[in-house]
Amino acid sequence: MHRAAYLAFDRFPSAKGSAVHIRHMAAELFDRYGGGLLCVLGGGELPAYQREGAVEIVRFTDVVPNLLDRAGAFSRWAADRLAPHRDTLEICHVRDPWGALPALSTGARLVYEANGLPSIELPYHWPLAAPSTLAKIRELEEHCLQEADAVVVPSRVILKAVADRGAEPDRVHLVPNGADPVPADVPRPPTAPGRYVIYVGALQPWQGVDVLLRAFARLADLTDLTLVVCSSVSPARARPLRRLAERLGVRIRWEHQLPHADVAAWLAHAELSVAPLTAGPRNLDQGCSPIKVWESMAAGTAVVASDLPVIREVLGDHGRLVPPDRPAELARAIRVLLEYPDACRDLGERARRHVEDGFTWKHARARLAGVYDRVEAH
Amino acid sequence: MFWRKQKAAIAGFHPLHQALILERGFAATHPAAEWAALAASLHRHTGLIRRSKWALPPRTMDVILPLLTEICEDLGPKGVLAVTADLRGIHVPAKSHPARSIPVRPPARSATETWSIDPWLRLHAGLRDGSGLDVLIVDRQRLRRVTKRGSSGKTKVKRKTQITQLIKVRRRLPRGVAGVRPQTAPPAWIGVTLRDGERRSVLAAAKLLRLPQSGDEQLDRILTVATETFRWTR
Amino acid sequence: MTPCAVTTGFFTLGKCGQMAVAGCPACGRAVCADHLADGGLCPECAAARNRFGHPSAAAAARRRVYRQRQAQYYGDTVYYSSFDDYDRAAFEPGAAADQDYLDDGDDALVDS
Ligand SMILES: [Zn+2]
Ligand SMILES: [Zn+2]
Repeated sequence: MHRAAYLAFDRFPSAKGSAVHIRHMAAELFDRYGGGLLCVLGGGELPAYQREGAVEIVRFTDVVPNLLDRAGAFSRWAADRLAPHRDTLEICHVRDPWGALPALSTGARLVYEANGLPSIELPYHWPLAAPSTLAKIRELEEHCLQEADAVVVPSRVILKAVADRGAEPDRVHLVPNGADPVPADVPRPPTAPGRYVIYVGALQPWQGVDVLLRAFARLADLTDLTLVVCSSVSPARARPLRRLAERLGVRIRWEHQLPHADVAAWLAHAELSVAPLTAGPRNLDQGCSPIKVWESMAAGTAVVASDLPVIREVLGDHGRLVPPDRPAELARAIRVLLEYPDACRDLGERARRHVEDGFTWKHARARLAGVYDRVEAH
Repeated sequence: MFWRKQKAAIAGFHPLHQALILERGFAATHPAAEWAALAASLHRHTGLIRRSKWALPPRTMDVILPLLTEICEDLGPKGVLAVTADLRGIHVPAKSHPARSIPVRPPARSATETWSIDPWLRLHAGLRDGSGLDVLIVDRQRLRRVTKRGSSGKTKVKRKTQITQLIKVRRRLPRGVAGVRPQTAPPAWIGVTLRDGERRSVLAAAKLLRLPQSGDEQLDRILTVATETFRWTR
Repeated sequence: MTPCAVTTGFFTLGKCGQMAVAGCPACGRAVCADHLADGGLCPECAAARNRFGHPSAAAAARRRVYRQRQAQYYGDTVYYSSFDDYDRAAFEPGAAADQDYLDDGDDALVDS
C-alpha cells in the first residue's frame, strides 16, 4: 500500500529531457513518502513491472495506435493501478491531464506539474486536430488545473498560461528545472571531433534545429569546426533533418539517444552549445525550461540561444541571446564568440556558478519539497 | 415574554423537527409517511423561525432532508427507515479522544495529536425489493499541535488539522439474489466488496480526503456510494 | 386495468403499477391519479418543462441532475470519451505531421 503516486504519460526512462525531470521530481516525492507507485509508459525493452526498494514502477504497454485512444486507455489503466492504494494514498503527482484524471478520482491531493500544455503542443505533431478538438483538450486541462491542490511550473511564461486556464494564483508555484554540476575534469568523449559546436535535445519543429543547420551552412569556411547533434530521438525520426543537413552540406556528427550520463562530457568539451528555439506559440505562450540550456550551463559551456522570454529566464545574462528564426544572425553570433575564446570561457564559467549557486536539481527538489509542505499543511 | 410567537411555532413542529432545533439531532424509526410529515414541517421552518439559536443545524436541509426523501421512495408500503442523526458538529468535546504526544525532530520541541471522530449520520432502511440498506457517515479530524522554538528563542505553537470523511454503505441482498460484478468498474474512490454467506451483502466504502464543499456535493457523494451497491446485482 | 408507467424509487427502480387514469399528452405513458403532475403531464415531462408543482416532478428533476453528475463520477477517468470520431480522426497514426516520427512512437504529449 503506497502513500504517494507519480503518473506520467511519458516513456520512462528514456533519452528525453522529460525523463531527467521525472527522475528528480519522483525521487523527491518517493523519498518523502517512503516509496510509492510510478505509473509511466513502457515499450521497447522496458519491463511492465519493476520494483526498486519501496518504489514500484508499472508501465502501460498496450498498443493503441490512435493517440487520443491511447491517452484514454492510459488513464483507465492508471485508475486501476491506483485503486488498490485508495485508502492509503495521500498525494498524486502528475504531468498531464491523462494522469490527472485518474489521480483526481482517488480523492488524494493532487500536484500537477505543468511542463507543457497538450492544447498548445499537440497541433505541432497533429496538424489535422480541429480547433474544436483543441478546445475540448483545453477544457480538460482547465478542469485538471483547477482541481489541483498545487500546480508546479518551470517558467514564468507557462505560469501565465496556467493562470489563464483558471489555476488559482496562490496554488501555482515556480520550480525551474536544473542540472547537476559537471566535474571540471570530465574526460573528453573518445569519439569527439576536434572543435565542435553542440546541440542537445529532441528534434520537434519548435526546437529550431533547421535554423541551426542553415546557420551552420554559413560557417562552411571554418573547416575545423563540426556540428554535433545529440538527438534524444532515433535516427529514423531525424530523417528529415538529416536530409536537410546533407542538402546544405553541413559538417555534422549525429549522436542518437546517448545515455544521459554521457551527454555531460559532450557538452563540457564543446566550444559552444546552441539552443535555437523558434518563436512559435509553443515557446512564446506555453514556455518551457529547456534542460539542454541548464545542462550546458552546468557543464561550463557558453550558450547561444534564441532571445525568448523563456530563455532569458534561464540564461539571464550568462549567455548570448540572438533573435529567433534568423540563421544569419545565429551564424554571426557563433562566429564572433568563437573568435574570443577567453570571453567564451568566462561566459561558461559564470553560467556554471549561476547553476551551482541556485539551480541544481538539489535546489529544484528543495523547491518542490516546499510545495509538498504547503499542500500537506492545507 | 420574548420569542413567544416563535416558541409557539416550534411547539407546532414535528417532534423530530423540534429535536433538531433543541438537541441538534434525533434517533427515530418511521414509515415513509411519517418522514414526509417531518419534511413538510421542516419546510415551514425558515418562514417562522428567525432566532439564530433556533436555526436548523447545518446539513439538515441540503443533505439529510433530500437523502431521506430519496430513500423513502424505495421503502414500499410496509418498509421503515431508521435514522440516527447527530448534527452537533465535530467540535463537541465528547467526540475528541485525549491528546497524545508524538515524536518530533528539532527544531520542534514537542507535538501532540488529537483525533476527533464524528459519526453524524447512521441509517437503516428495509427496501421494497427486499434489500436492507445501511449507511454510515463519519468525519474524522486529526489535529496536530507542534511547539517550536524559533531562532529568536521564542516559542511558537503551530496547529495543523486534517479532516477526512468515511462513507460506508452496506446493502444486504434480498433472499436468493446473487451479487455480480458490474460491467464498468466503480469510480476509483469507491471500494466495493461482495460478501458471501447466508445472506449476501455488498459493501461500498469511500474515504474522502477532503470534506465535500457543498450540500449538493455531500449528497451526491452519499448517493453515489449507496447507488454503487445496486449495480452489483443483475 | 392499465398500470401506471411512471418510474418510482431511487435505488430500486420500478413502475408505479397503480391503475392509470390518463395518458401523458406529451409522451403517451399511462399515469395514475397520484402521479398526474401539472397540466396532466407525467412527472418526467412536467420536469422537462420546468413545472415542479407536483412533488414527483421535483423529484424527477432532481434525479435527472443527480444522474448526470453521477455519470461524471463514473466517467471521470474517461472524461474525454466526449471526444467523438471527428476529434479522434486527427490523431490516427497516418495523421501525424511527420511520418518519420512514427517508428518509435512519440507518446509524450509534452517535452521538457
Ligand atoms: Zn410524459
Ligand atoms: Zn403512478
